[in-house]
Amino acid sequence: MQPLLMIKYGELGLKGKNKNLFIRQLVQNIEQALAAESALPPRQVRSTRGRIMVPLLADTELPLLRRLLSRVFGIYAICPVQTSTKELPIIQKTALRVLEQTLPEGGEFKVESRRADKSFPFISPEISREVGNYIFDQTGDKFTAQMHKPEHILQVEVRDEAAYVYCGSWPGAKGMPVGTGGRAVVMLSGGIDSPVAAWLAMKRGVTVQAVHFESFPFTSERAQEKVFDLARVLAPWQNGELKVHCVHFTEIQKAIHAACPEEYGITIMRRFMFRLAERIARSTAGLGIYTGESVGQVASQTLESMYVINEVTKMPVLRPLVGFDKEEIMERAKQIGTYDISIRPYEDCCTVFLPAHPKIKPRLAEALAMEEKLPVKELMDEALAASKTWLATPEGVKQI
Amino acid sequence: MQEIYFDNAATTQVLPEIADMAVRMMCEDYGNPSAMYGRGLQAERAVKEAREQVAALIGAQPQDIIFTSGATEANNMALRGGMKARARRGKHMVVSALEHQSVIQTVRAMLELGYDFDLVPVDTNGRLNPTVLQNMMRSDTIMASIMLVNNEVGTIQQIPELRRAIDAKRSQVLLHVDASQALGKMPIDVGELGADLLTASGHKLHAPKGVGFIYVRPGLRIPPFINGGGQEAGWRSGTENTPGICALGLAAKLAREQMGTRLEQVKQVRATFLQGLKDLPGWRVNGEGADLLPHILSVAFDGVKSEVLLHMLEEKGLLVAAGAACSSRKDTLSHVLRAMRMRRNLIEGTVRFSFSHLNTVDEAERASQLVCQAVQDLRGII
Repeated sequence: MQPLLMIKYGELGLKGKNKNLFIRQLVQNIEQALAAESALPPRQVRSTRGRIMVPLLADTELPLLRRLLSRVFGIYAICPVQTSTKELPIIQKTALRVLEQTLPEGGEFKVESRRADKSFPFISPEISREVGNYIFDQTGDKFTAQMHKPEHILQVEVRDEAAYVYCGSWPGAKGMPVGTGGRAVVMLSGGIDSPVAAWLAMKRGVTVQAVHFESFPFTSERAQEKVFDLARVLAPWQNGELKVHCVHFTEIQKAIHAACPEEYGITIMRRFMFRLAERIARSTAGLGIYTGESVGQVASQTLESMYVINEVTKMPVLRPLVGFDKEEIMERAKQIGTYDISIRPYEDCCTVFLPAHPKIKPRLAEALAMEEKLPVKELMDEALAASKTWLATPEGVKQI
Repeated sequence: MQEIYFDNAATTQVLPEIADMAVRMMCEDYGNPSAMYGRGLQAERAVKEAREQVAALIGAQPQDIIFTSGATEANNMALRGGMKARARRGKHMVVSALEHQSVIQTVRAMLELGYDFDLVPVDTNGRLNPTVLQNMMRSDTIMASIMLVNNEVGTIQQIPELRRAIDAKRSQVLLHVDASQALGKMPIDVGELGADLLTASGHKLHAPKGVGFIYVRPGLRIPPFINGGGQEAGWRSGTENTPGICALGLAAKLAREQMGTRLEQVKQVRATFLQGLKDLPGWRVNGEGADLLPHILSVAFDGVKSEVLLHMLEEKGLLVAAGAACSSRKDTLSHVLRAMRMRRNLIEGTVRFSFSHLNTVDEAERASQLVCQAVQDLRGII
């Protein structure tokens, strides 16, 4: 019978009345991930009780399907399964075939069974025992049982529509299906941290749009190119699309530089960034701002700085990296595949605007007083008017 | 907005007739020069002609020219091959501190093979002093690598004089001359220079990227650099890049024929541009005290970050190169300008303008206005 990939979803199964909403979104995301790959022929993704089934049309598809599905949040595990009719002898035969494929040289194993269809005449332990006995009868001493610390578990699941046998699975990306967690913006600088923050936002099901601040001619176009390349890496985790808003920040930088004491430059700059991020979030139905900040990393990431900077917005500012060390963030960035892009030497802020000694404990009253000298609203309107929005997909980036 | 391209030391626009030549070699005379039929012979003849043209440009014999993928490969071949050829006499190289990375990184990598090198310092104008060079040489020095024209500043080294200084100290030392920036822009004669090895690329001379050559003095045998089917007299195997080679050949021919008029044009462009900067305060030409190739003009502006200036000029349609990236990291500062002992803030304010005969006096005038404006604007901000 037809081989399948059986998708298990972890946390979703624990949801209450909204469960179906989450599952429908996950099915849709899986379909989208597969449809984006033109090399794959179309197929029907089915949702059954507690599982999602993706047909496997040829064994050669396995690596590609595995790669695509491993980037869909909400999947707990991916199991390549063999289907059987719900007759014990057929299940036994199928189980033996699966075990022979997994352990061609023989070895230790254990059978575990689940009986989702309670009308099946054998209960779970009986199924395991019957399958195990059959295998020993057929193969002599090629396989041995290992009940306590089995390396290989031969799984039998008897469900309403059929029985499934598999041995081993691949871990999924876990998290929640993108599209179930609302919308937000993420401030994407091009550094190591912010792409990881974006990824963690997506992981909890949030659909994000990126906001990038460019200061041409004080920064190079290559700094923006870096952000586009990061967005292309992140897009597959979010149904293949990530919008990037590039805000023209130069005039604001110049105005701050001209009007404010150097040591407060970063504080005021960050306040502008959060205000702009909030404006973009509002215009795109976003309800939060994600950043890659982690307490204590740089001058603008002390609690004192965050307090003064955060004051400009009432929107939730979400900092998924807040408890991470730099090393942990780098490790994650490498896993996601953004690290090598992030370490390219093009910086998103020119040294011209970087004070030698930024204030690490700025005071709100002082910041407010300084901003009184600046036409805050006009500067923001101008910056947004000169902004451009791009759509990043794995294939490329185009302006929209 | 008509773009002004003042970055000809980075690469040049391919001339239409040269591009036509490359297309012809790809679409019509596409035979493999090694093939035995007529179409192969046709290609072989075209490569032969190109070799003659390149040889003529540097006063060499055609059989002494080996085509490569560019100057970087040629420099690798010259240094590695030259050192191997002389390995019995020693292991030490003297290398000018101004050399291109394709030389400096190669000799660095060669440390692992047991070779050794010293960088020869230059004066504040970027000149090598013959006595200093002699003093850096050791009893096991077997090679010197000195570029004819520096790519960042345009300094012309007095190669014949340096050659004499080398010979006076020790005999049979090989001299490698990187002529990438000089080729076709000033008269070059390998005999007069005393070069044993000379390297250059095509794309600085209006030929495409991906082709260059090495000249090897007659009688000097260096081991094959790339082994294979024995092309390029066995020194550099691989099916000949006939489109690139023939384009380079034509570029060499045109450069030789037009050297005088081209040089005149470039001098006028440079003079006009410098004239236009006259009223702008706070700048100087780097390396001014030495002989400079008119094609390259390195200017240090006070109170300016070169990368920012570069992008401001780019916005106005003027393309130039910067002496430093706008970064807090020290390693982005030019090693050439550091070797000339320039102060950090001047290096950070250095922009390179490099001209070709395709530039016009009108462009030079407009460019100088753009530069004056941008520098003043930038000084107002920083």
